[in-house]
Amino acid sequence: MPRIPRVRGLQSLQIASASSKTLPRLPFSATRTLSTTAPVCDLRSKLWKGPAPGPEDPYTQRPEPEEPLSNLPEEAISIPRHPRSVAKWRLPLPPKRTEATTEKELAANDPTYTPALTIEELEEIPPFNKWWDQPEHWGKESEFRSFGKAEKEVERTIIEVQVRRAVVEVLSLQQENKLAEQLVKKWPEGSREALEQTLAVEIVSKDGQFSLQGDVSSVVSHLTQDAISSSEEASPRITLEEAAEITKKWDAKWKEIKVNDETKFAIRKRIYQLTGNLIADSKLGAARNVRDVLTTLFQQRKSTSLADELLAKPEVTKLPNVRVHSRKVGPIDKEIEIGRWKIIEEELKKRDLPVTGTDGLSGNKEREWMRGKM
Amino acid sequence: MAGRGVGCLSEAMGALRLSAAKPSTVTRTFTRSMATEASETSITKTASDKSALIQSWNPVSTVPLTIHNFPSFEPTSLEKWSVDHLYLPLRRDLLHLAVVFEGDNTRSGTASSKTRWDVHGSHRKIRPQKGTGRARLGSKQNPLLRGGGKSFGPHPRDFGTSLNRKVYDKAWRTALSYRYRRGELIVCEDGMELAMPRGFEKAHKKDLRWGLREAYQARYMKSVLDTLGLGKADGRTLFVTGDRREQLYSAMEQVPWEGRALDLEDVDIKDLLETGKVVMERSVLKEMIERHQSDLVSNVVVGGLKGSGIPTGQKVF
Repeated sequence: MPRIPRVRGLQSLQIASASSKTLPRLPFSATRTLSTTAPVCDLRSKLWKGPAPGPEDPYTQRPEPEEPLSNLPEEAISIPRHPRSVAKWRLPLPPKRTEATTEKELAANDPTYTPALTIEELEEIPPFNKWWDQPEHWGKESEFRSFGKAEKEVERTIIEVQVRRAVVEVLSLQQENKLAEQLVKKWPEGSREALEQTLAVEIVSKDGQFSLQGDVSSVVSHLTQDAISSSEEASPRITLEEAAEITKKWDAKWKEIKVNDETKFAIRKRIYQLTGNLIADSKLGAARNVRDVLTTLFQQRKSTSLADELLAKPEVTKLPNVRVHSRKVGPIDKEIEIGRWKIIEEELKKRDLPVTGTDGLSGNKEREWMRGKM
Repeated sequence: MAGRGVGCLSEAMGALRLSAAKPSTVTRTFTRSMATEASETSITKTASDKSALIQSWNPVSTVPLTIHNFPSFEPTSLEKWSVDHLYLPLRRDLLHLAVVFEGDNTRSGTASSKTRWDVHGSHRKIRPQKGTGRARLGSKQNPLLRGGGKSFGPHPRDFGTSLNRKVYDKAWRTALSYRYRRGELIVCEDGMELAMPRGFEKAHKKDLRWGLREAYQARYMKSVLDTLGLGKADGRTLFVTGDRREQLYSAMEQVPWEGRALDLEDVDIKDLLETGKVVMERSVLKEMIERHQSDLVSNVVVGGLKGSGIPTGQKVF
């Protein structure tokens, strides 16, 4: 209780300054019913030479919300706050928290404002822990880029093309004595042109020795150029048809190329980069030639169901006394097969009985009585 | 039986001719004339080829181990590790012994109850022995009475069991070898830490309040794990580092259903066997092997020097 009655406790300085800062709040005099228009207007005309700034009656009328003043030219204002280099990695953070304007103030500022009458009309604002789940807040700046391709390649022919490409690249580097220095570096993924040039190089075998025929130096130059400069261009995609066309040209001899630790490492690295398939060390250790590398890469597609697997086997489907069903054959299926189910269904419906199930009722009670269960 | 005899004979003839170059052609002549013989199918040929390829490989001294960069998983170098370290045959019995041993030794064994002699109160006879018409009773701490003691209740004890050190150490390397053989052991360079996007690193601490930081870490970590094939869909992942790495650990704490991150001191055999994949630093693997090779290192001191055992990890390039 304050010592002196009718005198309130002093407002703290902070609250007082805060209240003075809040612009849109109505001044005390504005809430009063007593109008002071006439004397004020006289006073203003006397105070100002020429037209007075602001609204005609500053006590009852609100000043128009002014835009923050800036000395900058118009072009400078239109430039976004962050330069492009910063905008590339800057996270879209939520705006600063502010106090919402009251309904009264809104109505005063915006004559078209109509308050919501139902909950559906209200704007839904997700909580902060859902902020990053919104697509406009999770962009390229937050994307993770791994060394390997994000989507794993599963098509055999495409993998074979990429393995061929890796083998040619490794052999050409070996030919130019640059493999050792390039092993630890990241090779550029290369453009479509580079891919075609690499695949155009032929592998020729002579007395068990393999050599390259074609433009080897350009393949090497593609690989040795700076990876960062060419990272912008998207890696070329090969369609299944293209891959099938390309693989037709080769004979199977190139798969006999022997691989050692160095070449295996290089091929594994390149394959991971191009197809997203990372070969396990223990499996790659067993590989002695390119054919073995391909074997470790090819994954047998898992059948989605047992029925699919059985249907894929001609020796099962050909048997006259065996049929493969995708699911368990029930009593209804058996009735359907002999064409009786339609009639049963009709009769059940005629009697207003459930077609399947017991309509929420317990099962056969009599059977339980007969079995001695109560 | 006749077919078998012929097969044996041709094999013996082949051996006589010293034609060891093509033993497969010799065994081809072996034919069985039994009705139950199943015809050779080509449907599962690739799978058998793959397993045959792996089975045909019997490394004698070393196996290759690729070291990757983290988190991009770019292969950076190749090492050779001893077969006794990373290519031991699977011994389920050893793993079972080790996991049970660890489980026994992690039991706290603190369950405790009071006997009738521990329960507070007087031991005065509740009522006279005779004359009340009711049952005879002694003290109120009687186990039959409410509030009385517990007859055969639990008391603090040590559940720990023992396991021979050499068995436990071999089990540890068996667990690592099992992971290696299946291609589920991924070794990364030292200093494994999750590199967060630049925008996150540069953002002011104040701007990432109200759970924004945690939500960001969770989403980013999930995208990393999904891209690398280490997430929940691939059976979760265990990350092992030398000590706590702030970014990696705090991010993994947001998504415990995707895997865990532990430092070397907190890992045991059960942890190594639990998740789908294990990602660890090179130095951690080295330390693990060095700590668990008592069955390989002799304790005998010769000339003031103890045997140092097989070297861990020879760098190839």
